Amino acid sequence: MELLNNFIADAVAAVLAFQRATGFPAWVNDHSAVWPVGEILHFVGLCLLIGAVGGFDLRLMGVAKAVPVGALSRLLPWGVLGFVLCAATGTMFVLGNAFAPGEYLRNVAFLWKMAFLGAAGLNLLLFYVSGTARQVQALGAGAETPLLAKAVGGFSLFLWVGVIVFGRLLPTLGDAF
Amino acid sequence: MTFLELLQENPLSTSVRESLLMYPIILTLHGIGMGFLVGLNAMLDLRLLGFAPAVPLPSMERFFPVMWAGLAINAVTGLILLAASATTLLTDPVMYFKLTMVAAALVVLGVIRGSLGRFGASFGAARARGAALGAASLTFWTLAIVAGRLTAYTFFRFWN
Repeated sequence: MELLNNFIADAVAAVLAFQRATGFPAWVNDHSAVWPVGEILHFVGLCLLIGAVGGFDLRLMGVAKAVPVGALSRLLPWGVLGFVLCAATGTMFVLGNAFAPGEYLRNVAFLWKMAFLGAAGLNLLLFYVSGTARQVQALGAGAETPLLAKAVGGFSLFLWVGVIVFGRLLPTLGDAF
Repeated sequence: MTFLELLQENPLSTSVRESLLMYPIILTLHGIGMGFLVGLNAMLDLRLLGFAPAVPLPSMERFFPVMWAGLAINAVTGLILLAASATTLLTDPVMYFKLTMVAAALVVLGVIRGSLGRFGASFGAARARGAALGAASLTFWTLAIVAGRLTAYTFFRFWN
């Protein structure tokens, strides 16, 4: 726990140092279009991510079995694009907040969001390292997925929905500690 | 009391606005519903535009129940959110623009659903028509998201 608190304190200090060195929050504050445009791109990214990754997860879980898995995986780069959009704009929100520096990093909803994000990353790693990703590539229309693929798909869907939930709760849970 | 005030100042709407949990929960559900409806619809559109050509279009029919579930969640939560802030949201031209874009996107989705089987032949007129529908759908949903986000801001409040 102390380790986490120290890490957060260091992260807040780093954000503050960046903000002072660059004046980035003042720039964001002076350009009223930056924040809403960032939010729009964050939401567009969310849709691409849930559409591509969530759709693939559903197929892994056994929904839409008629879709050949390898063919569907060709849509995954759109999910990566969505993730990049969200990561870039999300970083901008953390670094560009002029009013309460460090507000996000100390926010318990933000910490849960990052924890779910990290778990989604590990889940993805498991999908590739276990060889499941390669195994499902060959599965055609109607083919049943292996149990591990179902588990990885279900867990992925759960984790990404969790990321949305905690993102939406950022203003509600506030500075909880 | 005007109609909008009546919509907003009743125990149901007030409970959504003032409850510590109701408003964030409904807003969260609206975001999740959007992810599944718009996200899967966007994948269908990209397929119609020629990406992932090895995915047989009729096989994507099985994603429709998930999209309809997203639509159901968002219709319910959207109406609740509208009622809770009726005097601001229903006097905002941006909100009417958003609702128009959502309606247009849903009409396009219905048309795509109706001829999914016929897009199976991935060449000729059917393919061109599919690509046009996919492009229209992506445009309408993008504009709906843009307008939806902007209802949180006041740049475009031309009256009141």
